[in-house]
Amino acid sequence: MEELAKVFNGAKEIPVWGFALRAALLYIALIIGIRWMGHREISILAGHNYLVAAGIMSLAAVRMVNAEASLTAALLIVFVYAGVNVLYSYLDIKWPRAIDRKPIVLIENGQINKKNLMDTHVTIDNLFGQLRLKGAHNLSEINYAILEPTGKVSVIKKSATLPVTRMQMNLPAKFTALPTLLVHDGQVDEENLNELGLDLNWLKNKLAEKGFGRFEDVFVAALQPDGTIYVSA
Amino acid sequence: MEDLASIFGSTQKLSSTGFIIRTLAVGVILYFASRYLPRRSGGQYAAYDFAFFWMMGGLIAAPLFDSKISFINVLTAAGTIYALHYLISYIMVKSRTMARIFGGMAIPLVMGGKILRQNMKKALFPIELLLSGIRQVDVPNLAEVEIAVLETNGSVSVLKKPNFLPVTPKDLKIDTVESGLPVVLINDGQLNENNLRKLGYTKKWLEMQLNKNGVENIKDVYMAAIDGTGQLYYSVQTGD
Repeated sequence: MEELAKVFNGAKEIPVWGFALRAALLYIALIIGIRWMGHREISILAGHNYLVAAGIMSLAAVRMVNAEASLTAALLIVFVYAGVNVLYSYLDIKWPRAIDRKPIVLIENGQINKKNLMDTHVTIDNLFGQLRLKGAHNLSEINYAILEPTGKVSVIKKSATLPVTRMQMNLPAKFTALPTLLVHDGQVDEENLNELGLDLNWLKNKLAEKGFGRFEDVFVAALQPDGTIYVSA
Repeated sequence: MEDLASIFGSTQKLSSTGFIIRTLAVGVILYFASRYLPRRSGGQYAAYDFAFFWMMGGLIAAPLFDSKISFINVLTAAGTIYALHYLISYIMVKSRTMARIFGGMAIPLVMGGKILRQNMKKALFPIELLLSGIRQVDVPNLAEVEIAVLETNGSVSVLKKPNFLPVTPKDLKIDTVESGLPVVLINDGQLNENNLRKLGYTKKWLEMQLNKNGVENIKDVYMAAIDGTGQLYYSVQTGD
């Protein structure tokens, strides 16, 4: 018991299993903290998120191996740190202007905005590189290039240089929707099936047409928006 | 309760409460750091942007590593790194030669459909990585590649051979109208009168457009935006 108290409070010397326990607990705490911070921690406001990620990881790592640091405090810190960032995400919805930064236009109507480029310290080679990564190799094809708050560049090409759309060719519109999963790993998703107003017999017949006798043989079967079925063993 | 000097300064031992107060203080610093962070570092245009980011993240959280680390040390180090990043990126916009020294150069890996062996070697870039790089931009086949460039942030950009490029309205001589960037008119039921006025529309006109589509009240609209061609997009609030 005394040993366990040492592991949690920190001491000059901690048994090896103590470090394993510290590592495991902090790792689980990190996973919970990151899940709590949610999706936006990875994509939106990348600048902020990198800082948070780098900070929370390094503090957990340092405290993991420092015998004298208190584990209790470390776990609390991880959760409070994550909580502060959840609060920022919440405030961003309430007062976007206080949290978010404005996007900056780097190319407007095909013309490079030199002042904005200088202000943001993006060199012309940086800009060209980012445009190339977006598949915009010719400057004359670009209508807008915008430096987003995340630091990434988004490119809007002139519509005459984008791939032709069905609308431009006066083709009738196609129906688009996401496919619906019907069978996964031999298990029929009856809820999805019922929602579509279909039954097991219909599914059985459809799979038989594709040469699958039993549901157990099917790994994935999905109904596609055009009415056909995709099957994979 | 510890005094403020030991919470924000250097101390041998700090209680959990002390560390929670430290964490909140770090949260505040984090807010200002994110808000005034050099914009370019987020996109990671070069290796030094990357180094800056991860170092800043670790530095800002450093008072939580150990009670002996004081805020003054951390702020001094963070300030120095920030100033250095600012200085380097400032020199880089001013001088292209310096930009090459600090940021490196984009290296062409494929030119005219031929892999440049010398450059692959110079960049220590194995062929598997090149194949993986072009797959990531939806070009599975090297035969479709006219030019591939290793950018300074480590990604590969690809220009496809003309025969493999999609057909554009320009090729078919179809006239197109630039739709420009959409402007937000309604956000969460709130009318943005500034944007409306700037574009020369009136609230009456917007209400009429929404009424035509069966939306009675601006309050019911979650988001509405209009593009340069006058095409209105809107999404109605559902639930609560």
